[in-house]
Amino acid sequence: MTWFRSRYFPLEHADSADTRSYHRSRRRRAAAAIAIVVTVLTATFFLTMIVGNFHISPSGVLDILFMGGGSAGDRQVVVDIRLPRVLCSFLVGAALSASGLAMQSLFKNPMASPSVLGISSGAAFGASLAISFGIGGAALGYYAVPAMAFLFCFVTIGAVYLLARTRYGVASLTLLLSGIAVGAFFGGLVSLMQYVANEDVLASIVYWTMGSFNKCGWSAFGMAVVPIVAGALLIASRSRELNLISAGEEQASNMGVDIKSTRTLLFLGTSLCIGGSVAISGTIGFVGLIVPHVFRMLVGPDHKLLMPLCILGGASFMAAVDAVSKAAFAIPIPVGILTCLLGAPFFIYVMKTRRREMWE
Amino acid sequence: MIINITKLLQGDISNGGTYVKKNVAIVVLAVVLLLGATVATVFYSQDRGNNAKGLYALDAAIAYVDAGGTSATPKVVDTIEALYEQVYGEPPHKGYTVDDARADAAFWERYCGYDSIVTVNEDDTFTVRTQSQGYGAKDVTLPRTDRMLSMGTMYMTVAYYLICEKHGVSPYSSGARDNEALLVEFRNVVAGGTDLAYVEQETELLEYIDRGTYRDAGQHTIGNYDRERLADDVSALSADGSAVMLVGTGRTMDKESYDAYDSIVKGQGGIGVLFVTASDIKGSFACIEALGSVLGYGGHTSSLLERLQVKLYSVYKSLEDHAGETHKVYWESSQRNTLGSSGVSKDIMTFFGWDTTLLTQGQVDTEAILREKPDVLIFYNADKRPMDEKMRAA
Repeated sequence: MTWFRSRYFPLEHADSADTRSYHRSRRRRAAAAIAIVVTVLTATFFLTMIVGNFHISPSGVLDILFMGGGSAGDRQVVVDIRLPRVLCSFLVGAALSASGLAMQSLFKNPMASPSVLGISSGAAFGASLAISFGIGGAALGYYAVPAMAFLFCFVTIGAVYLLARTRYGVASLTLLLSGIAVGAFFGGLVSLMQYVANEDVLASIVYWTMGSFNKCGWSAFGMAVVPIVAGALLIASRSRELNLISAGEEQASNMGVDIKSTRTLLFLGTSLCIGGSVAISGTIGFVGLIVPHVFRMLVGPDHKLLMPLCILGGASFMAAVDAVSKAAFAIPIPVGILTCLLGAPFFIYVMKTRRREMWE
Repeated sequence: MIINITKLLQGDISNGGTYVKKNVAIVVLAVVLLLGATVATVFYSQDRGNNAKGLYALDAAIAYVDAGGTSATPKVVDTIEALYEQVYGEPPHKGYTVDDARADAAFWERYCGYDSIVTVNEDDTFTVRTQSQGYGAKDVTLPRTDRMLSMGTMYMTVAYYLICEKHGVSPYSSGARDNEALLVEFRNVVAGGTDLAYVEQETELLEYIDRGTYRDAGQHTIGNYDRERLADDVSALSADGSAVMLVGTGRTMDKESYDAYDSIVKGQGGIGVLFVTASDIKGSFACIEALGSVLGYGGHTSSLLERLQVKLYSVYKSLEDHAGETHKVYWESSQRNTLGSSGVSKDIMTFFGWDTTLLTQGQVDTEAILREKPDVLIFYNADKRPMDEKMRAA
């Protein structure tokens, strides 16, 4: 990873004499990095489309996708089950990675992520309310669970922000601590509901809190695509500000960054992303933590490049892990379990071997 | 001695008095703790005895029932009969007919007079009133079903009882176990669904299942059934022209999921989904009738239902001998949770007139149980924990 970064992104070694040449080369290399990630994403799409629990040949899948061939039963599986699932995993991976990157940079803390800020726990609580007590079911029907998850994303982030706010402003550390406390509170409430739920409801809550794309059809995709795309665009539009904030809030402020409005917009973008993703897939951990770190190591700290790479790379990562979770085991396991099982050791490895490099 | 210790504690000894003081304090403390532990042990073993630990102290009657006996299956009646026998003894009043039971309006109306949820149509199809969270009551028309994917053990249990009825053998008897034709039929009808670990935990049906051909969903709730796997299972089972349905409870089934599962099953050559469940004893009879009709066991369903109703009436009449006698019950699953005081389990408790204070659906701590003093403790036969662990004496 280090060779890649030093070879293609020698920002620190740029000589003022050939700045223009450096920027040209840098743009070229950034374009190359994006092209590589787009290629990986495309390859992931085809790979995940041919992997699944329904037995159909790769050529059969391609025939259905591009020629409209195949039997009605095969088309149903490929077009109505597998395709929306893969697209949903792309959306969720992109949303979690973009949110994670925004949170880490905003709080200048490598451990920051939507789950650390309690947003995921809040969303899980909202969804559990709908599952356990049918709250919102009469008015919203199928959309009750995602809508409640969405609502509690905003409630949580609002609560965290209000708790952290003082007359002197909002300190990042206080905000993180508030997030941990509010997340623990909502986590406790979810556990309480699991404790008193009957067997069917308990199975739904537990499965939902582990994260899964099993229920992702076209309606789920339609429900999540607008908030996630809007949220990701909102976060991506603040890349310049994130670059400056990463160097220090005071310095960013001196450079003309409106810290307060940037923070509000990033919170909003994060809530849209997390709300949209939690609404269709439940809570999936570690993606928002791992993906930004990996790309930060690969291409350095420039958010203008990091952000699109995280969005595309996160999408690939999520879809690949989902394909493994549904097809690699005798019993499909919730994808959230796998992201934690893969993510935690990988993260520990990264932390132990490249501690300093990550935040340089 | 006392004087010396006092002096030592006061540090009256020169040359390292503090050091000596600390050591003496430690020795005194150890002696006091040792004495205390000895006294407590002697007192405990003399006054209480080993068997009085934990729930043994209640000296309550202990009953065992089969797990899965509190849902919409014929096992509900077996469970009631088993509970009666273990708490009161053999039911003294037997020999009733279904007409006797029908004639007892109070009994029939309360426990047997169910509203049928299935209609046989002129074209030999069946219209069943299904229940789901998303649609509430919804009429579904299905042709006769050959094979089912059963998400939940209750449906496979119903099928098992019906097949036993058809073959004229008692469920779970050696006659049933050794009947090859019964085995073949059961394996054909119950073609897959609920994961086998759960089947083992909740029923005694595992030995009837062929692991090689059974389509294991890897889950025991329908909402978690992987949709591609479901498509694959239905496609494989219906490949020979069999009419395949997915059956489960619709308690957590929203409209989108309902439609998605129905569409997948039909899209892969199956006949559709059936979501039925019961909330009381007579609702269980309605479910048995519906499932039996759709599976093509119409005549056997009627005879099975009548037998169950007569058996229930026998217990009902026998209970009249214990009018005014009540019991407080603690009913624990192998996960150490209690049953909830709702649904069919509540109706069972109501049938007996027992106190359900301790049926909270969650875990109840030992102190609360000892305080409430239940006089009947119920455990599942399949609960493999050692007795001392169940009685919280381990």
